[in-house]
Amino acid sequence: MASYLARRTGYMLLILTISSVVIFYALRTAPGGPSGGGVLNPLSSQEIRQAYDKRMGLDQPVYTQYFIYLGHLIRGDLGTSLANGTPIVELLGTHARNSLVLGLTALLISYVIAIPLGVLAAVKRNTWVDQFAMGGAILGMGIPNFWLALILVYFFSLRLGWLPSAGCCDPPQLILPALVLAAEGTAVTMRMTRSSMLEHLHDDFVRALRAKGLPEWQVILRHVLRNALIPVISLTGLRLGWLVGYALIVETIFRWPGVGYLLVDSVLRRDYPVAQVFSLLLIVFVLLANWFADVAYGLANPRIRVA
Amino acid sequence: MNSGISQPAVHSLVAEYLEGGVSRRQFVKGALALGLGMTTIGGLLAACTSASNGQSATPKQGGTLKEGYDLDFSRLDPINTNWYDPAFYAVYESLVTNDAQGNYVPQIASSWKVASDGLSVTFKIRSGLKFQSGATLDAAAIKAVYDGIADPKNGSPLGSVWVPVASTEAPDPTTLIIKLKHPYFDLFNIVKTGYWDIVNMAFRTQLGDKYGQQGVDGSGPFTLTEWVPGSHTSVKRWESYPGTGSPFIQNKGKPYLDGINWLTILDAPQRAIQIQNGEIDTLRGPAFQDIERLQADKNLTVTQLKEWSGYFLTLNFGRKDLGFDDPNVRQALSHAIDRPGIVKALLFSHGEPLYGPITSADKSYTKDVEQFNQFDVGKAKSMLSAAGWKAGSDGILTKNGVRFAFEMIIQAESFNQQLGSAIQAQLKTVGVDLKVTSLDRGTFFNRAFALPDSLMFFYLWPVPIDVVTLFVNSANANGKGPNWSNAVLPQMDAAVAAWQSAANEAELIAAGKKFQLVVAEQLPFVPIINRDAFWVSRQNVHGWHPDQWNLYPYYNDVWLG
Repeated sequence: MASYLARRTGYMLLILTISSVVIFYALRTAPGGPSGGGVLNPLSSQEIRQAYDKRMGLDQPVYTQYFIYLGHLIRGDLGTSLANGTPIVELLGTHARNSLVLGLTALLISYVIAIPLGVLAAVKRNTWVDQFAMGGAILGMGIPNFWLALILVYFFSLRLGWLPSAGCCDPPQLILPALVLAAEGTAVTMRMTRSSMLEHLHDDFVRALRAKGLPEWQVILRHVLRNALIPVISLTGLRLGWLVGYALIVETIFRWPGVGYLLVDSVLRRDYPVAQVFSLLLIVFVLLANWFADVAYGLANPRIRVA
Repeated sequence: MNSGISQPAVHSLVAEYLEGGVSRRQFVKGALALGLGMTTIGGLLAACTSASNGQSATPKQGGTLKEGYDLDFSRLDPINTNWYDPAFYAVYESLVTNDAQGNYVPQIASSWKVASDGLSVTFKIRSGLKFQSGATLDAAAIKAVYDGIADPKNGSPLGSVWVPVASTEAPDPTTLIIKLKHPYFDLFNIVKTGYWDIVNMAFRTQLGDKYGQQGVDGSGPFTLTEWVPGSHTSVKRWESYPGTGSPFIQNKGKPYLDGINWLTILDAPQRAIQIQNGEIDTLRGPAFQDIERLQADKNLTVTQLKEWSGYFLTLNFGRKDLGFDDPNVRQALSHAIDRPGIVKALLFSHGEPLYGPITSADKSYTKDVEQFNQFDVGKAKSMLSAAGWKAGSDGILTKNGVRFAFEMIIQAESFNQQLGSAIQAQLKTVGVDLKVTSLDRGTFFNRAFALPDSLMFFYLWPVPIDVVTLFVNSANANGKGPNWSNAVLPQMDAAVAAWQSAANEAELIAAGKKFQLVVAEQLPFVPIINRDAFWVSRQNVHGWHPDQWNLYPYYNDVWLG
């Protein structure tokens, strides 16, 4: 198990190092820059722009800039935003917290809706309940989240006036972005719960429990669901990665100041230090989620450890 | 009022409108049906708005105004900012400002006098003024700001319009003398802008690059709480504010509001939704397609003003193979653009065609520019034909084996994209193949200074000719500044010099007219359209009065009911 862990961790560090190089070079070689309208006044003279680049060390070769950046990173110095002068540690605190709140709410909504409906759909297979739940799941997987966002804003904000259409960070402002972020995950989880339940509903141990006279609700909830949830829980690791990707879109649409929102904004502004750190952060998050999933698989199935 | 109009019917309509029984739109329709003219209706609406805004009511202290804003927030450093946003009107003050009629009125200066030879202007500065930090704001502090703008090390992108200033002197704390190399009446138009707002230079030096990001020190009625580009800017009341020197501001003491929070809402449709939903109290710049809906909402007041802005496109004079150095070719392309059609289709008629560089609302506007650049496809085709361009097999013009095809870069924004597409389609009708490339801001300006074939740009400036001089002045060609057409036109430089050496208002207006005619005829850039400015407020907002002459409203009188 130790060598398996070391191998997975090694892969993770390798991917992280390659990613940091790619991100660094991609940002620096993209046209424009902080002095070319990203941060400085676009009407500034060439002399002013050159002076700014020199002051910020942006006139040095890209590989030199990379090693300076790496040195700072190793010392734990994440740097400062070029756009607003705020230390990135501070930005990390507020924006990561906002993203976490949104992501966890979306996960919660997703499981609260998906698991009961998935169970019901399996138990009431081929009835209108099943068709309704699976129809909803198809819609949830098929509707692009930006479009769903527009529809929800139209009804709940513009027509009914019940919910704010954007902003942060009051509870009502959380509802629409969390619903949109939860939509696809809910659909996938619901389908997985249903199929996993169906797999176990006719197992021998279920027949034995029924033969013992256990009430049906206890058979379903205490025994079948418990087994059926294993693949659903495994899916959570992957879903964290999806959430990160969707959060970029959802946070931008709802102006929810999370990691995704800041990342998009910093790339457009060519705020290199912020864009670098937050891109890496998202990669670290996805890698960690996968690392935990790999480790969990390894623990559950020893054959995987030597694969 | 006309004798044939039923006065009781008008009174009844006004009463119904005030009670909320009819919408603004229904009111206008009803008034038109009663035979009232638009001027009278406008006056009645303004009076109704004042009445319903409770001007006579006692202002209430407290509350935070939430204002939606259609642009991103620039750094709050007057000397080196991308642009100045509404928060500048809250945290800073300048020497002079405009009242609602466009007259120059005191702000930090209490009075001023132009020397008889036009070579100096002496400002008397209000005594006892302080910056928000407690530092003294006197003539020496203002001199430090103006010297800072003139110093290239400080990076003011607008140093070129300060060139006529020889020196600034502060012989005593309440006297500031600006000495000029030659008469420069336009000076007042310059010092009233946000770029010349008065900042505590000692504090600015102390904060360095972080000034305007992490802190500011001005003399306006509010102090900065937080500036988060892409999200919001917040200010709170400055409890030691000594009061305004501007006569048109009614509240002579501290502001009523506890604070103001501006939210940047870049998604155009979302702006209207947020004000209708009560998420914000006031709004600048709703999308044009939403204006009719907002006007029909009885909870809202929509103010429509002319905007000091313009869309234009450049044609790089270096593309001699396409004839962009030939005024006939530039004019031909200009004739192919259907400006009234664009105004109707894209601005929903809330704007006007630009035949010269500036809006018709400007004091120096001349209708003579309208003899140029009128939509005339036949004329465009014959001018191109006379320049030697013949249609190829695919309908695109060719000359000496060169296809009339070029690229225009635009900033990635929905309206720019619509406008770019419209121009592309219109140029196609005369056989010109235009490729429109949409770029993010950073890439756009990077490409702009590399002098592309063409670019489309939008300017916004309180005295438009001042900013237009930057785009047409040969000193800014060759990538040295924003003369992105690389246009070197002696007539244009002469017109800029005449504008910058006018000794009085009459001379300035005359120089402005000549300037416009040179631009309209020589086309160092091709003017396209000007849009109107729209401001929206909810009924609980009082004392908030956007006007024609200031880019943003002042917040001293604003209170929430």
